[in-house]
Amino acid sequence: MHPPPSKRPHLIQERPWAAPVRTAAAANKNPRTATGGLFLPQQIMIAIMAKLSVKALTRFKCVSKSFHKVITSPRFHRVHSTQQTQQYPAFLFKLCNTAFHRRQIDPLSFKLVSYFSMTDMGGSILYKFDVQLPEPIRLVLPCCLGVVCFATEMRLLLCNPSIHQLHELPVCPRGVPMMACGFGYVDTDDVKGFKVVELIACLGPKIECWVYTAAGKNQSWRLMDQGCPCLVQEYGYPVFANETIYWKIRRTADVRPAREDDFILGFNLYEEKFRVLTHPVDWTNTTAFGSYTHLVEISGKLSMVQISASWVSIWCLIDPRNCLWSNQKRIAMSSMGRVVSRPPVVAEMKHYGRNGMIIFSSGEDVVMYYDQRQGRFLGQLKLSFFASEFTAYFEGLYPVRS
Amino acid sequence: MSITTENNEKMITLMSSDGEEFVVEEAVAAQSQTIKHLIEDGCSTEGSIPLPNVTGRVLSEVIQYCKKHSSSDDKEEKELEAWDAEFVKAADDHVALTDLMMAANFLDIKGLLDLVAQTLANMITGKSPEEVRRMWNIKNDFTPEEAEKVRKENQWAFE
Repeated sequence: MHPPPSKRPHLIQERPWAAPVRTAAAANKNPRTATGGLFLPQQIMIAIMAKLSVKALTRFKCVSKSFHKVITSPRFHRVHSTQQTQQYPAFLFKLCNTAFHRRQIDPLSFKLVSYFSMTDMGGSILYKFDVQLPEPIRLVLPCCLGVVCFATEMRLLLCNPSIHQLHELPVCPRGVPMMACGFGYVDTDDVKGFKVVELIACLGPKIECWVYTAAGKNQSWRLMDQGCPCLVQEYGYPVFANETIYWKIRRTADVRPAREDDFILGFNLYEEKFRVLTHPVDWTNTTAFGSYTHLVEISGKLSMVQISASWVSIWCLIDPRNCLWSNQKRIAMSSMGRVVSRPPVVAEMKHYGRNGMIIFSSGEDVVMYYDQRQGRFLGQLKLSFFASEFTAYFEGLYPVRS
Repeated sequence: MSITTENNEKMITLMSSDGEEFVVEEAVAAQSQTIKHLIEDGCSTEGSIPLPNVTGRVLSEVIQYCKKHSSSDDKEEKELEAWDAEFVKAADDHVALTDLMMAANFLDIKGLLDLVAQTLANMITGKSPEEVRRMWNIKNDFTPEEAEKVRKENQWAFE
């Protein structure tokens, strides 16, 4: 089926763009994968495996040494993640503890039990698990490469539900309470792994920044030279985009600065430096009831979403260096009226898929899908449970402990 | 060899590994990035383009795919999807699909590569490691101890 490499015409060999030919030929020479009969070049194998679920891949580590090697390599993890984000996301929900659950406190350890459910977009439950901790989980930070971060008042945990891994980070030496946290993935020659950031208020007044790198041998908290550049009273939900963790911030009243429009705090995980961003020019701060603004990652870009009684407005950060935002896009609330059985309440907008899909959560048990290209709501998903936290989830193979 | 049809479509000739020749419109063949670059480099004027990694049987399937995808616009997305589903169904087993995928890889046709990869992935997703080995004649090169260890570490994926 495959001619030996020497028979390949020079015509193709000389072309630099014909890389697939060379790689296939290189795999050809590998006697381990070719045992006669049908032959599977490694490049083909990778293309197929990138489409598989994490569970199937975990099982296929047992096929052979070369399968094991590919599936556990960081390079393949990246290929697989990229492929996953092309598809529809799953949803990870932290369930509201109700009487429905057998126990909220484990009788032996006296730990609180938090219940999680993962569903597909149709609401079918894919996977359930629980996490037991001495204190309740306050925050579920949005998924990054299949990993989520849980924050309690006391501690932070990294969790990859698709590979059944949960890793509790050591408590930051500065102690508690933390004001804000965030996490993201760093991929440089020196560091390949997740970095977690904690912002802690100190006397002074000063806000210290601590970074934990969950990779390599020396995993510990490091205090950054540069603290938070401004005094912040309130941090929003963190969003990881452009290699940076972003928080929407509200400053303390007594030091309200000259520049009212410094609105978003960013911490670049590669440079380990802070930056303050201004909000879009045409954004106005309304204090109308039910109106508020939050940040969200949209196809790898930072976006700002303002939800009011009649509109959802969206801006996208096009140029982070110069704080250049796109024009605002508006979705009328009235367009979802017919779809939603209850009064249309949008609590949160989570994710906007590559296929032009925007996902809205109504807070507790309804998720709505909006198709941008068609400019209409496609439908809603009524969940069979109540959730207090929710994130769009793409599977990933990245381990959370080494 | 470069000939032109009545409606001025430029035709080129592709030759499979087993010497079969296929005359196709340039626009159809150019869906393969590999062939497109060869045409740009002027290789199609010297005679037929040899494709040493692709047999005539596989090449005729590939051409069928390229013809369909060059004549359809994006508007007919739904119909094209249905056609794609029928197309991979016709290839029926993993051996034919693997051949097709290797051809798509060699010819660098992204759409076809994606389509076949997804089909093969769907085919093997519920299978055991033993079944996957049998499909592609892959040798289990773990020692019994290693096999036991890997199996234990990944036990949850078997449940």
